[in-house]
Amino acid sequence: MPRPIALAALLAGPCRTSSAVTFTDAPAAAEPKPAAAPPAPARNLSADPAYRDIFKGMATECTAKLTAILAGFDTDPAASLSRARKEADSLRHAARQMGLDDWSESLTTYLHSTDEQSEPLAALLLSLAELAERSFGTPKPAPAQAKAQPFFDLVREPLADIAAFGTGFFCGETPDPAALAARVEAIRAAAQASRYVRVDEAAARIPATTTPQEYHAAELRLYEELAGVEAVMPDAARASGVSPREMLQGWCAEHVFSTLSELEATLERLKSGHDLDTDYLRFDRLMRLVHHACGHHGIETAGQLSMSLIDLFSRLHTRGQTPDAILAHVARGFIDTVEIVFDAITQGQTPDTASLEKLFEEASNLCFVQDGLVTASAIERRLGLPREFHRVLSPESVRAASEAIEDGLRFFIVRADINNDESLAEAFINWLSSDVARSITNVTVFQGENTLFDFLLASALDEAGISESLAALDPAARNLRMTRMLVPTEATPETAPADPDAAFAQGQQAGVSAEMVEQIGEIAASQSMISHMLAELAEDDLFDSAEAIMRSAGHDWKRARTQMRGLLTGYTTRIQELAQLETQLVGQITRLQEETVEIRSRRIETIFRPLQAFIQTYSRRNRREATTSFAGGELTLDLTLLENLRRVLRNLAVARLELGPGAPRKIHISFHRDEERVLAVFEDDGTPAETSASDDVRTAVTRLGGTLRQVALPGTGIRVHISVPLAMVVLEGMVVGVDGVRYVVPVDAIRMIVQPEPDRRIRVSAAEGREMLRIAENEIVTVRNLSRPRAEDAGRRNVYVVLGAQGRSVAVPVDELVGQQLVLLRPLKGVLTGLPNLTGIALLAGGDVGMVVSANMLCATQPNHAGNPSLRM
Amino acid sequence: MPFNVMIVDDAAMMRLYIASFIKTLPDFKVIAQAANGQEALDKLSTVADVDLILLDIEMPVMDGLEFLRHAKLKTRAKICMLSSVAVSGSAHAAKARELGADGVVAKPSGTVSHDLMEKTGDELARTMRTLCAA
Repeated sequence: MPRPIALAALLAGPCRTSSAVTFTDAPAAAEPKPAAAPPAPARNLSADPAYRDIFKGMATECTAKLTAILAGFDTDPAASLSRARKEADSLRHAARQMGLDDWSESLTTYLHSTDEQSEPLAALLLSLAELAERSFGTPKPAPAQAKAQPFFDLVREPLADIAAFGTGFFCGETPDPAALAARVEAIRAAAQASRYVRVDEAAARIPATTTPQEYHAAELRLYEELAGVEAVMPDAARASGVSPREMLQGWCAEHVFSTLSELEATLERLKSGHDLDTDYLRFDRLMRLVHHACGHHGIETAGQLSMSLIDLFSRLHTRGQTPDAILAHVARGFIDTVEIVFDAITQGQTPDTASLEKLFEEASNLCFVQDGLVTASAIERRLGLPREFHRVLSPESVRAASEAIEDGLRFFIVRADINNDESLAEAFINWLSSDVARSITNVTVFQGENTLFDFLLASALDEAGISESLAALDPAARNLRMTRMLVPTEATPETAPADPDAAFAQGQQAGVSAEMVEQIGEIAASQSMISHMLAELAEDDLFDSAEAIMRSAGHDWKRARTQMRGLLTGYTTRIQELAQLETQLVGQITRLQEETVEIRSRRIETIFRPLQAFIQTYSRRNRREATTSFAGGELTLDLTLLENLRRVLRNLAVARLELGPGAPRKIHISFHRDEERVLAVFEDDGTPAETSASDDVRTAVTRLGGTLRQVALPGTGIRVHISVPLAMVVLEGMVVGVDGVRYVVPVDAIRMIVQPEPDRRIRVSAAEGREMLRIAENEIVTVRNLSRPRAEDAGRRNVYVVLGAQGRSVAVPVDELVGQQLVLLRPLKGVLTGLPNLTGIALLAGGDVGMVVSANMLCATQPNHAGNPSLRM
Repeated sequence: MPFNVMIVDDAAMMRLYIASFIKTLPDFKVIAQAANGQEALDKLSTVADVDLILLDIEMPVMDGLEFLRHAKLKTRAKICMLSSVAVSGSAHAAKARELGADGVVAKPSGTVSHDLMEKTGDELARTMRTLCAA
């Protein structure tokens, strides 16, 4: 549409300074307001058809803009009000020039209204519609968003068809290309008409897809873009009875568990850093799906946290870095917590989102933690900063504030209205850059159309001194004034909750009892005593003391003997005391270790109810309700292992329940454990089938260092054996040395330790020269080496630890027996999971790391001695 | 051909700092500037071929987040928030990501704004290049 330059030149009001400026240009922010009463026009232009047409175009455009502003009014009322008033003011100016008094009056009524809500704007739009009908015969548009409504009307039906095609595609019905293209074209045409370029592009991708998964991904992209349009014009979407946002969120909520599972796997891959570009983009995509799922249930904190994590990970992606341990911990915590929250929602319970709040705080503070700084929230607390300064402090500002606190400076907030006074602005900035004051940060404050600034500054001056300085810059005190003085308080721990109830709850969650705190105190005291005694011993020079005694006795041993005995006895006594203290300390640490492990232990039955509820809900959703039964709930496991096991079993159940008509109706899960492993057996009556989902389960089990074995049952149904090594359990172990490496052998698995005569070692030629050991007259067992046997070892090792498990035995040659001790079994991670015959690692007394031997694995391949008479003689 | 950049910031001094910084990058060229979101939206309909928009959050008339909401519908340009309140993982940064910001960079705040090049230069240049290359 050609711009009305000629009209602008003819009608330019007092606020217009250039003939190139048109009525449709919004006045610049700093521009002075139009004069209240412009000069009367020389003649009434409203009678001229050419000018009436131009004004009609301007009024139509203005009405459309005001309608759009009304639609988005609630998202930012202050900005909407400001923009609406600018538009109304421009049209009023034109109306006055045209001599259209009725238009001018309606617009003036609106501009003089003190009500800052949206109602006056709605009333103005109704009034403008009536005036347009009266003045130009323009039919009244629909009350709101007349221009936007057709878009959603146009896309509603094609969108429903596209969704139906997608559902059919998953059930094996490939969409008819012509029908699909027609629906896509309808959406593209609507998008092109409204210049929604991204909707157009997203729709164009759909026909190019070749698999249901690709189709669905493209469909979700389209929903996301359409949800963006809906966010700008919610009323128009509602009026058309279509909500892409709800469709998107609903789908994401329905599939949130598989999304979280994929997200977890992606996080693991990211940590390895193999293909950062792919994995970061995938992380972003999956996290957005979780965000939409959270939106479906109105879990705002989780939704916000998901976006925070996207932000943190994206910045690392830009830098080409892998996520550090802290960030990975927060992301993992998020995945776990959201899973629990959705579990609770699935079961119809109210989720506890307190831990999400804590994670969000951690995420917000990550950049400070990574920089080794106190956090922004710590500064907010210490200074008692008002709300507008919360979560705006940059790392530089935090550093500046910390230094100012250390220097004992006072803090002030100064409001500055300096946008329109350059000389004052310059003087104020110079003052802030001087030694008198330090600027920490500033925030923008909008007052009507004015932009003000609140400066947080630090200074050695007191309140009167600051006021005096500001008065020197601005004697009338109109543009610079101190609004607040802040006094820093003492630092409080980052994690200390302000609410005592919260503190109690936190203590309960951590499970730290008063007795444990006492034990830790005793351990600290014992360690301190040992340290003191060692320092005393180290200071004493025994040789010097002995030489002094000898010297005083004239180097006569008989004369010196009594004194020498006293010296050495005293020294020995102190060493014995030290040894006693050390024994006591080991006992205390062992007790603490056992209690800590006990606190982390949970009965397996704690996961029964969530699993049962999940399977019931999920199977109902798939229209094939399944019942669940359990066994082995009385056993206990470390809670992390239990949680991992729950996730694996749930994903396995999902894979089975998604089999359609072949999905099971009965599921039985039983648990068994020994000293090294926990075994979960999953049985059902569904159709035996290998799916990609069960591959995911297998991968997850392998990541836990476990194994998965699936067998088809006679008739129908499957049985899946999932065996996972135990972790975080205390084990009574015999520490042995082989080739300089420490190994821990579970004491319960040791049948005997023997030092056999050479003739008891046998090489069996029928078994490829395998070495055997006769441990009794009627029993020989296979010898298994923990390290690769070397020629020079032959005959060197003559101590054998004989292990027995599951009715089988092996003899393990060792170089030395170090001793017996309680160890905390930790799981193997990364490449170590591939090591044979090991269940984990343990930290030994003295700081060595010991490899914990699996008697089950070592004995697994050996013949059963009870059932094999050839080995029993 | 350098990538075309639009700078949207209400502080004239900051626009100047950013434009000066971009002059040091041979692969980018500033082709438009705006003092608020509304002005930027208007300019988007007249200035063609904007590849990248560097956007402040706190602005009068229409703030950066509202601009983002509208602009993401009608432009293919990558949008990078460049704001003192967009600290990593903060609520502002999260909101910007939610509304579709392709990149978020925290610029120095208060009177340390003139340290833009020193404090933020590398990160900003890296982010700009990553976004335009995507």
